[in-house]
Amino acid sequence: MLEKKLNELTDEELMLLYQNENKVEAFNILVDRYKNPLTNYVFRFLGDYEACIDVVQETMVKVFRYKDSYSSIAKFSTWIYTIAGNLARTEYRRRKRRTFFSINSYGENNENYDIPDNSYRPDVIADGGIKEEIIQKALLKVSKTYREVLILRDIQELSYEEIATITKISIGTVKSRINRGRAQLQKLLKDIYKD
Amino acid sequence: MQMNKEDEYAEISRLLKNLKKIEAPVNFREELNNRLSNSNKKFIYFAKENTKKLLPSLALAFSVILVAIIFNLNSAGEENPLLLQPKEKTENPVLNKQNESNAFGSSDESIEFNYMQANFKIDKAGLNFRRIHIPKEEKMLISKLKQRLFGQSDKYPK
Repeated sequence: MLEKKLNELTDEELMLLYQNENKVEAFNILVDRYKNPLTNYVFRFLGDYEACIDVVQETMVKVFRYKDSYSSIAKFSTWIYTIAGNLARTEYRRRKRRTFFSINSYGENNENYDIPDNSYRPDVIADGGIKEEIIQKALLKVSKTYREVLILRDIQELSYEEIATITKISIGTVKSRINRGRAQLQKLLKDIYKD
Repeated sequence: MQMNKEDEYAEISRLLKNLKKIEAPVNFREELNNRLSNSNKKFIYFAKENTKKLLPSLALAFSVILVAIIFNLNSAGEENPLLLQPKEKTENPVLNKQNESNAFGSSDESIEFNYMQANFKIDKAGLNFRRIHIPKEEKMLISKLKQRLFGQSDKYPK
């Protein structure tokens, strides 16, 4: 009964409820609402499902812990996307550094080189996996700066204003980055289709 | 212009929109709850461990502060030498000069010259009396006058 009532509330109202009355039920509803969109966003950005789940969980932990840092003026979705985006970027940098060192240490002699196993990835398992995989691979090759806004716009379908708030850049820059990202992706996909 | 760009990349946008939505695992919330409880435990453990590690250095810092306070209390009655006014020089520069000159066997004229050079003042610090060099004839005259006024007695000042 209580959960049914809580489900009718907006994200901001639920967050305020969790902030002021420490209602864990409100937090749980927010988790249920955002776990899938965030998973989709972070997965498309990182390209690794396990790392993506880790980032999304960490985002939820941050929301749980630092509830007081949320201001009711801001939209909850932009706030949670900002946290997830920051964590995803940190994870991306960490992974890039790790890959760089592992190639330097082992790659030269072609020994002990880890080939990532993509068989468990949900986009590969799913129907039309190959096409999805091609697009995902191309997306991962798009420059990180453009990729982030491109995912937020074309995959998550957020407004330019929301993207500008999440990425802390102007709307004009958001638009130009999206177009550049699309251009890069188009070029990459053309090359892939040629092969 | 913006619309043209949107049209130009419409196919790409459509491809991205039609991508399969990736979903969180079914046990997401349970894992999250485990993580939340673990992170709380970790925080308590971290706090405990760090307190243990920091105890010796905290004790050292505390004892240093304690010693500093004790020294500060003991020296509270003493005057700070840095805040003391410098002592006034009581030596007479003229006499010193005279002594120096005598040591090297200089004449009375040089002493008189030194007197002239010395800076005598009557100021807040007190009176400085000038020693006047009197020739022998004048000294005799003065003593005669004293004898006439006071006789042979020691009533007059010397």
